[in-house]
Amino acid sequence: MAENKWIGKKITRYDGREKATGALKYMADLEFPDALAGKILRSPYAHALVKGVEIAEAEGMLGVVAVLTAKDVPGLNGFGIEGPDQPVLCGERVRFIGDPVAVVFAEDLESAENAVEKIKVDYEILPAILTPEAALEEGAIKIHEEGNILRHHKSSNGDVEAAFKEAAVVVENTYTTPYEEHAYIETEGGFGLPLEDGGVELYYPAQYCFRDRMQLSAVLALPQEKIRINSNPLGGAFGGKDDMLLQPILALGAIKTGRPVKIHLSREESFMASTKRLPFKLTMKTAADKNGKFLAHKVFGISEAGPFAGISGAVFNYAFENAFCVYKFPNTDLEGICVFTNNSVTGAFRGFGNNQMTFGTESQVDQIAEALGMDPIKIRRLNCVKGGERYSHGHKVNESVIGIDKCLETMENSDMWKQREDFKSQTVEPWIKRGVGIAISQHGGGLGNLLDDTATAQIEVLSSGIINVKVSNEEMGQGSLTTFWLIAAETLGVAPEMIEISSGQTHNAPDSGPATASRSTFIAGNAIIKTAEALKDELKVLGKELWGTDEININSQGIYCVTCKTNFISWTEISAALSKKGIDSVSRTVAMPETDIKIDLGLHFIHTYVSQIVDLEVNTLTGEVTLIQTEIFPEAGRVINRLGYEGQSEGGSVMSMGYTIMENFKIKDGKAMTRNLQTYLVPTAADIPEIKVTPVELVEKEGPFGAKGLGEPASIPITPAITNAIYDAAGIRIKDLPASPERVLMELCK
Amino acid sequence: MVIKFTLNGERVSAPVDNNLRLLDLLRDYFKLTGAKEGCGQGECGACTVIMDGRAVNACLIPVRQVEGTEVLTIEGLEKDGEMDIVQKAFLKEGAIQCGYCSPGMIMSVKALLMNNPNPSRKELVEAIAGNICRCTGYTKIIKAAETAVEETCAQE
Repeated sequence: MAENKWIGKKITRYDGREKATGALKYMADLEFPDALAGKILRSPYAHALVKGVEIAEAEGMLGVVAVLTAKDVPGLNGFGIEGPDQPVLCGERVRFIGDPVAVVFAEDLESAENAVEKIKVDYEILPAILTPEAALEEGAIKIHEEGNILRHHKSSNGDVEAAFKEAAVVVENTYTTPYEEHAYIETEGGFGLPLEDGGVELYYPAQYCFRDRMQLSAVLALPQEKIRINSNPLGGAFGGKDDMLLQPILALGAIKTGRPVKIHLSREESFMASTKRLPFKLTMKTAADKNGKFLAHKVFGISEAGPFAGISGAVFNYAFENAFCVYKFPNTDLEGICVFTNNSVTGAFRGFGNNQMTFGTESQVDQIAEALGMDPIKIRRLNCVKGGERYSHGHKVNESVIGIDKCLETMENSDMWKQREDFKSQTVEPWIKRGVGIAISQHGGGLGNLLDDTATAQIEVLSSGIINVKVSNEEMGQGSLTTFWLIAAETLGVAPEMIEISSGQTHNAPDSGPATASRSTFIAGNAIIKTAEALKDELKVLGKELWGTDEININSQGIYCVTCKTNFISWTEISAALSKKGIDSVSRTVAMPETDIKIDLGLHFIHTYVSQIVDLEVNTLTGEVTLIQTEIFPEAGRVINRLGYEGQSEGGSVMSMGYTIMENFKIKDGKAMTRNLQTYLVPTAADIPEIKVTPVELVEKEGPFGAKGLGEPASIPITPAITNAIYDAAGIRIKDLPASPERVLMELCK
Repeated sequence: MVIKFTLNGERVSAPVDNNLRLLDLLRDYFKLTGAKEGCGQGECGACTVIMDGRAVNACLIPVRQVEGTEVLTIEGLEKDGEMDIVQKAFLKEGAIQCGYCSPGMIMSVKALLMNNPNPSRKELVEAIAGNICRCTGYTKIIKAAETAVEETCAQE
């Protein structure tokens, strides 16, 4: 294979300059003449019936143009990825503190805010379901007509109880994990614009413009063709901008007022209304024989979706798909329930349920190793799924499954692991305890085999000679534009500067699916390669027509005839020649590879693996945990852009370091106690360890240039690696996240 | 009231309401949207600009305090189409992901270098500890700041 020109290098990002200079306009930076400001009236109650909404006084106030309630929703008053159970504006019932009841659009924000205060809502307070256990109680009030259970999964294989009897070691624990707030720096905000044909256009940061358009079509009772969505760029998302939030309200506002409308949430409103990571309570019982071979893994888990289905059922499924982490268990027993509550809305968050489950399983594995006096890496290598083997769910995965052992082996041979005892001896103060811990995780890319997962790309050679590559997957910071740019350049054999990427525009790009599920690099990358190859075929046909031969060379200037070296046409001329033939663009579709068997959890075929070592200190006087250094070993196939690859690994690790030891989104009686960044503490530059990223580069045959996704996988193993290191340092086993100073001190005092 | 100050090297004046913040003045009146509002409470640093040589949170500065000062925003860093050393370093080291915190982050580093051309790593970290980045994990931002220091020293 010829050496790649662009793939695998350190390339400055596609959208770097406009971001470094502040020139890039995010949605709330845009300006439209005569735009109205919107303010939403939200429910102060966790659960209540809406008996009436009185808007006359608000409507009559200075500057107010429209006050909209549920009555103004022309179509279906509901949305949600899994089903439309979340009202756009609540007309009958509110189900969480923050549920929108009305919205005011006025000439300026102050007028809108003043008018919102004059809206009178007659609520009849209902009992609120504030814990998952309460949701399951007999006679509990039903949050939705169908009841309070969103998902109930049960599956088993072999005989776990017999295995527990014969095992040399059985470890049983209950783990709890908290909500996590995405805390992207860009709070939700954007514009709705009326179109002359009665349609609407949105400028709003979101992770899947086509699905939003489909949902809006039902809400607005408008054909999809009349809805245009611009969802790029985003100032961070991490899953939190996956489902809709303000889109229906903005679209409604634009249509009803006939003017552009803007809403940009304050941080407190964003915290209140946006989705959070699903909290879990997991009871795990795991057994091994005297040689450390795993015999059984039993998991009972309960989680809460909050008031709506959203995409929480899929998150819950995904957690249970990953219940066995990377290991072979001959006997398994899984049961999980995900329920509705009147607490915070939950949904997708980087890792999609896998973080919670892997924290549990990888904690179990370390305890088994300790009970048997085994090395934590050796026990993992002994039990991990090897090449050619089936997973514990019974399915086969991609050939790069050998990456699991490769990640473990690379970690075992690393200097950091070998020198761990030296590091530990460097700390001298008697109240500071130092420890080293490890963990590994897997993460399947794509939507899973319960859903169609395809991507279409399109390439158009513009008259300017620029090659315009079009997909839907949004750029939320993860670097997908850069990835697409390099993949297109490498495939076509032109300089990246010749390529322009369009994405996140329903009217100007084909549907390549959502910017979620660590799928963009893999599936949109593959779609771009296939489309670029199709363009090359068209260029060969063109060469044949022009020069009687399809032996052509492609470069940044245009195409040359190889045999008759003087013949050449530029990209501008190619554009004209293709148009003349009626070829305005070339388009191809690809599908995600699927597993050979299906179960109701939605299995994945392509996995990325990440192992990680953490070296930290525990201050036994204050309970503070300080990370000193960490090394990350991702097996995400071949590296596309080294800077992006490292950036995802470092960023994912630090984000989940926050989840593990700092961030604590507290909710009491359905009300968020942590309402902004003053109390919800996320990592700063002063909190981070020294981070080393060591790629374990195997070629993923099915992936674009051998690559797999890395966005989410990088956020997973650090959590159990930290808690395993805390145990190594101070002898305390953290089973409830976060490992805050208070929690650590409490455990030390036990 | 009308306030007069120097904005990105130019003397400017603007009619303002007393209750406005410097951030509103920059974004709404001067249409300089590089500084972002991420929290409105001085917690995230996305609105960081340089005022009289010091990095400040523009969301916490009442406009009346701006009178007679010299304000530098991200838009004022480029000179004749050439980016500042700090901006170039952020690009080179991959210190930008979603980019929403980048203008504020870059201004915090710039303010430090204006006052102290050869800061220690600890000083660099302290200078950006008030700027939250949710994407990068800060490693590449610190590296970019170090690169900017090296380039500044090499230039002098």
